[in-house]
Amino acid sequence: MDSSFLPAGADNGSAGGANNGGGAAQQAPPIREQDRLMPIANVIRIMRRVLPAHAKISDDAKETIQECVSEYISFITGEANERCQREQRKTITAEDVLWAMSRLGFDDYVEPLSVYLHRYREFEGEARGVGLAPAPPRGDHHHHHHSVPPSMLNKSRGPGSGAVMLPHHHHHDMHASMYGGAVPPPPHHGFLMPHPQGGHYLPYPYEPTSYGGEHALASGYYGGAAYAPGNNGGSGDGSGGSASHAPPGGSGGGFDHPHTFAYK
Amino acid sequence: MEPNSSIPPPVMGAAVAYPPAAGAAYSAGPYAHAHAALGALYPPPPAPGPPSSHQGGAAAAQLQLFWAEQYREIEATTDFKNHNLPLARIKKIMKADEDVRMIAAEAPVVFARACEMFILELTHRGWAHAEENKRRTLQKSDIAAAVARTEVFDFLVDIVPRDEPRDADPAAAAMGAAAPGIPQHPAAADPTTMGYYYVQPQ
Repeated sequence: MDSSFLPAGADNGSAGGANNGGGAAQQAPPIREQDRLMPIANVIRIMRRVLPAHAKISDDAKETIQECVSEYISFITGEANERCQREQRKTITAEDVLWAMSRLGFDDYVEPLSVYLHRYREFEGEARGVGLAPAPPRGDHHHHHHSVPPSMLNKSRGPGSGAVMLPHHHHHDMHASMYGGAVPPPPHHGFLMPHPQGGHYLPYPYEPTSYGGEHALASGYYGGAAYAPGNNGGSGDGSGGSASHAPPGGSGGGFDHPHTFAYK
Repeated sequence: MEPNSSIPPPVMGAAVAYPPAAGAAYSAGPYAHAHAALGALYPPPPAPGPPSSHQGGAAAAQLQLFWAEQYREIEATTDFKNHNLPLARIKKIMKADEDVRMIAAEAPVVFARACEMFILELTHRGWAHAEENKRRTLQKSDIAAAVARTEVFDFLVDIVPRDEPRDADPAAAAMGAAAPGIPQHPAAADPTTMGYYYVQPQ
């Protein structure tokens, strides 16, 4: 495992170096306004999808949403990066992003995004298998494939998987305290139902385990396992098992648990 | 694993993707429960007057539909190459934090979708406020009201400060809605103090 990790680390190091160089160059002068915000045309197009046809959007509302999106990315990234540093990893993975969202209260986002990530990985696998003619895209996909190993390594670690589950439960407790004891059951119950449909519509064996936020994270890991050899598939199942056991332990914990489990 | 990968992706188009019988059999149940769950998650903010209360209820129902729609859209996604938000820009914003070293390729992909959902939710909640005030133009104050009413958006308090002179009543209503969540009730009386107390939970 270590020997296999080193090449990936070296590759990431090289890429990281390039990125850091670019970052340093950009940081010398303040980051351009244009680079600090999402393109306003894209933002407006997305906003209009949820507004009635007759609705107008003031310029200050457009700019405010732009600012909010950048703040959202920085907010989630900060939390995800803290987890990476605690676990002494250098690369922020998609799972870290999802974990940070659940920890910071965006539980509703985690489940649909886990489904999206799973389907994205399936698409990536199919594209890799199907196309031979387009050489440049092939290279890109190959690079994407290289980005998977860190996630797989993270998945293979039992303690890491445990850490993933328990902090979420910690947040769940906090969420319950915010809205009172009556709130927790309904969300879980609500999340149970969409999955039967999802399972029926897309018969993945991983979907049934995606009940609740913590299992949604497990679903993300299963997504990674989907493209791994049989052995990795086995480790994925193990991770799922760990996830199923995590909930009871986590429910008993308080704010201190994240630190405790970070070192476990 | 392999059988799943061999299964072809769903055909483009929601109508084709959902056979009527299967859709009828499965869609009602899960969404009905989701409605109940999301209704609990997003209780309508208390507002004076029957019309406002009615609109609050309508807003809650719309949010339930909003999340159901999110699931449907993700299930129907077939284009994973083009994203509605540029990945390079997302990566730059992530790397604005000097502590961030390396970013896996899938992280910006997830963020692109997450930011879409974030924009949609914030816009939806902001529009509800505009409608309550009988306006057809979404304004910054509507976004600010949505932020004030939604605890998960507390991290945006500094980004969209409330314009108290313009929205004295809506601001008061928003604070009234937020008051139950704040431990110290006396703070509700003073807007300035309210702002300070918002920071503490973060």
